[in-house]
Order: sequence, then C-alpha cells, then structure tokens
Amino acid sequence: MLSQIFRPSRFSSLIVADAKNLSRDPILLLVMVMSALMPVLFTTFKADLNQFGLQFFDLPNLSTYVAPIAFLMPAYLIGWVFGFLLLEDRDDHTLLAVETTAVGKQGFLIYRLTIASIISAILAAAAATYILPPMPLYLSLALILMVALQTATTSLILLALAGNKVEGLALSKLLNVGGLFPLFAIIPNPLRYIAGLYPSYWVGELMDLSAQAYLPQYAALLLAIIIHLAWIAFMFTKTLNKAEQL
Amino acid sequence: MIEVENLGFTYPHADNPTLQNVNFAIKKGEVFGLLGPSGAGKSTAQRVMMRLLTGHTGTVKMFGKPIEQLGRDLYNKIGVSFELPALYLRLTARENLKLFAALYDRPTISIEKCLELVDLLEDADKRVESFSKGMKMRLNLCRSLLHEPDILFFDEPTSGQDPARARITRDLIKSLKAQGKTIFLTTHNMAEADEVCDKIGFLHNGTIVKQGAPAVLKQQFGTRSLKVTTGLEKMDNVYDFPMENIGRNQDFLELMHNDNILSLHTQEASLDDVFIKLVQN
Repeated sequence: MLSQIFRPSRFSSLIVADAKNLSRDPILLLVMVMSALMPVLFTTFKADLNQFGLQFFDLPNLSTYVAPIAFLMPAYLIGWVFGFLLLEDRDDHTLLAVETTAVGKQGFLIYRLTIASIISAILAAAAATYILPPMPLYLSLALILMVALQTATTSLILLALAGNKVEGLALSKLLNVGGLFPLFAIIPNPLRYIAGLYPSYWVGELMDLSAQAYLPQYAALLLAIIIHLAWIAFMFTKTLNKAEQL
Repeated sequence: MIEVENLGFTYPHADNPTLQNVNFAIKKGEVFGLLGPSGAGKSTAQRVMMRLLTGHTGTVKMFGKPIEQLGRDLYNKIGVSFELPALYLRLTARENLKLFAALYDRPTISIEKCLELVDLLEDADKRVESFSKGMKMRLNLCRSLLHEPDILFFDEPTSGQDPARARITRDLIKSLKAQGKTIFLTTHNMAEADEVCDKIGFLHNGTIVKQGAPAVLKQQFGTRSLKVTTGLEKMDNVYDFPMENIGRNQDFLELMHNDNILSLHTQEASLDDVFIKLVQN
C-alpha cells in the first residue's frame, strides 16, 4: 500500500495540489510562514529573553526553558495546518470522494501525515543549530524525529476529536497547551514522568531541562519513541473509525 | 455486472433497518434507476454497494465476485458521483481533476475532454468556490468519468441543474450507456428515470416494492384506453376509448374523420402514478 501512495508521480501531484490549496488560504499560509520563522525569532530575541528572565524572575537563562517550546513549534503549527486541511476534507466530503479512488482515505491520510511530518522535520533540522543546546548528533536527530512524530500526532488529535472545522478551532487552543509540556521536565522529582504520558514532554526531558535525571538517556529515548508511536497508532485508529461515519 | 440478493442494512443504534430484502440485478450496459422519496434508503443502498458502509446482510456481487473479495482495485473500475459536491473549493476545476486523476491506478482521459463532456471546458481555470451548485454537480460527474470506469454510480445527477444543463447530463448518461457502461442511478426525479433507465426499482420502507422496465410498469399501472379531446378553438369534448379492438370501434373511427381533434393520448400511468399507487398499497 505504501509503495502505491509514495509512487513519485502520485506523491508529487498531491504535493502540488496541497501547495496550491494552502497558498490560497491566507491564514493557513501565515501559520506555515510563522512555523519557519521560529528559529529566526529565537536567535534574534535570545539575549533579550535572558535579560527579561534575569530582571523579573531572577533567572539568568530563560531562553533555555523557551528553547524546547520553540523547537516544538513547527510540530504544533504544521500539524494544525494539515489537521485542519483534513478536517476540511471531511466537512466538504472530499475525503469521501477520495475513499472511492484506488488510494482511499487511509492512504490519503498516510500521505498527508507523512508530508506534514517531513516539512516539520526539515524546519526542525534547520532550527536545530540555533535552538538546541550543544548535544551529540544522535540526540539532535532523535529530537528532530520527535518533532516529526508530534506533527502527525497533532493532526490526528484534531481529526479524531473534532467533529468539524469549528470544533477543530476550539480544540487547537487546548492543543497549544500541550506545547508547554516540555516544561514539566524542569521539576526535580520523578513525579514529572506523569507528564511523559503526553509525547511533547520528552523533548524537554531529552534537552536536560533539569539537572536531575531519574532515567538513563537511552531509556528516556526509548520511552519517548514508544509513547509517540502509541499516540499515533491510537489516534490513527480513532480517526479511521470516525471516518467510517462519513 | 451487479447482483444484489437479500440486501439488508441497519445503521448502528437504529431501531429499524434502513434496507431489508433488497434484490435486483443489472446487466452490462444497462441503466438501473433506484427511485424513491428522500430518506427511502437509496443513498444507503448505493453506499453499501460501494463498500462505504460495512455490516450489511445478504450479498452484493460486482464483476462476478462478492464485493468483500474485491480489493481497492474495485475503485479503479467504478466511478462515483455523490449527491453533494465533493470538491476542493480553493482549487480550479482543472486542478481538482488533476488531483483526483493522480489517485487512480489506471490511465485517465484528458482533462479537457472530460470537462467538455459536462460543458465546463470554459470554466476549467476558475476556482470551484465561484461555481454554482449545478456547476459543482457537473464537475462531480466529470470526476467520476476521469478513469473510464466500467460501472458508474450516480446519486441525483441532475440535482441543482437548470433544465438545459440537466438535458446535457441526461444525454451524457445515454451516451455512456451506448458505450457499454453499466450505470446505477438513484433519483427521486421520475421523469428523468423514465427517460434514461432501462430498468427501475421503487424503494419504499427500505425494500424494492416493484421493479421492471419503465414502459412495462406504466402499462401495468395505467388503463388501456385512448383519450381523445376535440375542439381546436376551445375544448369541446373528451372521449375515452378502450384499446381493445379500437380499429373496429365505429364511434372512434367516426371521430377520427373529424377535423376538430385537439389531442390523442394513451392512458398509461406516469411513473409518479405508479409510485403513488405502490406506496398507497
């Protein structure tokens, strides 16, 4: 099935159509641009952030805590854009029309999630140099992978839980709170791992926001990937069940 | 080409079945119309046949095999036009067709040729959001023809179209039939079904209460008589002659020598009459 979806001519036709579709909606386009601007904004205002932290909270390195949120931003913005496009497909019955083609809604969903994740991964890779603290290459790559997986999760949460575009807009506000989950990794207590049930948390954990680590790095990495994949599998199934009611 | 036996379907949490004991068969090159009022179960029947709804009872066979045994390749062989427009509004008609053409595994016809079939070639590069409902419906129809499928499912194909465009659509259905395409049509427009269908089935309370060729059904439910109206300036008289031995009916023959005849009408039922009688029964 995957080879069917990722046939170059088909994949490129879908990308071209999606690019045109996105470029003709000012809000979706703006969100896409914003997601690409994040490393520029972070680098530009890093010194000001630290100054602000020192002045008001007596924190000399506020930017360290903002870094995982900024790094995850493409996952939330791009994930929202593609999730919203899929909600629109469901509302406008195009997903139903796609289901009566050889690719089908499942194939189309896989395509959309893949392309969203690839875009996020590219943006995260570009931002890594500016946002991530010095770390081994394998860890940087793992964090980029997590941004990609979180993108798919964000899209799927919208699709699985929102009944239509209006509900999707309301839900996206709640979803944005998920972007703050890496901050739980600051807590110097093993109880912080409760927040690890939500995938975003692990970006904070792996960026060593707290000096105190209760898990070896390899275990944290493994857990992070398992939790990301579990969320994707659960939300994907839920989305397909919801799409049955088309 | 299509065989449906004892088809039944109940929506989850519904008390009553939407379809029960539905039976019909469609040969290659035939146009079959499933008629009935809104909510009769026409679209449900179509969705079950297209495998968009699961959990039916009975059997649905297409191309000689139960639909459950046909993989996704089924969708390379069938074309579907839904009752509601299912299109990307921010894309143009041409861009919509290009996108959908990429989703099939068989060669597609040229987009220009396809748009020409539904009289939309001049609007090829306009965004669909600027289209009227009728134009969107024609583009829907166009999309279903892109990959030259063997079986076509049309749900209310002339809905929202003005009489002239509806004529184009009906002519298109006839030309597809002439090309040997098998067509399953659902409509509540009896006149349309009468014009384009080889066979029709009346769906009422989830079951087909009567099926057959439109002409046969109209005869069956009408009276075998001829109504003659006289009076060219103003209607004088209306006569009703039984069709039996009409050529030897002296009163009729005498009237035929009259120059004052306004109209002659055989009194077969319309499909509307047939449907109303069936529902009342």
